[in-house]
Amino acid sequence: MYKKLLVVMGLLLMGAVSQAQDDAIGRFFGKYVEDSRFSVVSVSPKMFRLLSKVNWDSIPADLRQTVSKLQSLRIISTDVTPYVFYKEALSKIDMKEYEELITVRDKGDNVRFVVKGSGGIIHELLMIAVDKDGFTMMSFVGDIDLDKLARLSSSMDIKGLEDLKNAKRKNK
Amino acid sequence: MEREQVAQLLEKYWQVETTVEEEKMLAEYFRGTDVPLEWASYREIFSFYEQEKEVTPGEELEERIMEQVRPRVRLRGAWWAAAACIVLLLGLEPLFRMSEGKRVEQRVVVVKDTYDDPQQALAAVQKALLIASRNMNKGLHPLK
Repeated sequence: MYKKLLVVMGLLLMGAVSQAQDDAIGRFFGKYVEDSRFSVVSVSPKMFRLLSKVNWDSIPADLRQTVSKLQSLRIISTDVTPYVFYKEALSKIDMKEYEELITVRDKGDNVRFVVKGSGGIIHELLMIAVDKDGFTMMSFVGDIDLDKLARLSSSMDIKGLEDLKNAKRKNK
Repeated sequence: MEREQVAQLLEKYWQVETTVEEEKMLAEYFRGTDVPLEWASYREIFSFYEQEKEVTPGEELEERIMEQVRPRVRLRGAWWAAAACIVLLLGLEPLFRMSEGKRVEQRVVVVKDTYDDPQQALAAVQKALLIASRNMNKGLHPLK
């Protein structure tokens, strides 16, 4: 009787603890998603499942594999007071939940990568980047292979990237 | 009372055939002083009965008994309630789990899908991955 009671209590407690874990990134996104100063990109798990129906022929294998293991993508960016939002975003990350992966500081150009994972598998990769032109926070959720991800940019032609850069900063 | 008579009465007594009056006579006899030695043990027995008659229950005996046998309505009710709660929780547990799973999914999809077209979504994912990759390389190979 008591044993059973303890087990039930334990289960309830575990439930409570897992509920108490707050998603800082979710909060940040939630706070600014309707804010006109920000532009938001979101690709949901549902959409990721639909991606398999797309014609993949033009997509390199490395990229294809990486994408196929992702579950969601969220990007929020702004060019208004980027450093203020960078600071706020950093303050919202609970470093007990995330592990610091890469930090780059080059004058005003800062990039931070933090990851959440267990047993060598990375479930979430969070990138927070800022320079004088803008602030960007990106969250990848899924099964993430960092080596593969790091190789992507060198194996891809940079043209697409340049396009995006231009698009992002067209108001400059 | 003659010794003979006493012996007869005793015989009847052990057969459980004595009347109340006869038992009273016996008790009186053994209370007396001229009891032969061989009946000394009887004397003890009858004096014991006499003594026990004097014992009366304490005043609050009834209350003490009632206290013991009083049905523990409240306590038993609490146990039933606890058991019912556990059963209920166990029953609802899958429901909890379901709603939690839902919540997790909602947390991931805080923002509405930006794209309706998977092709566009893929392009965006691709670009995002490239930006992340490039930034990673900035950290991994800062001199390049």
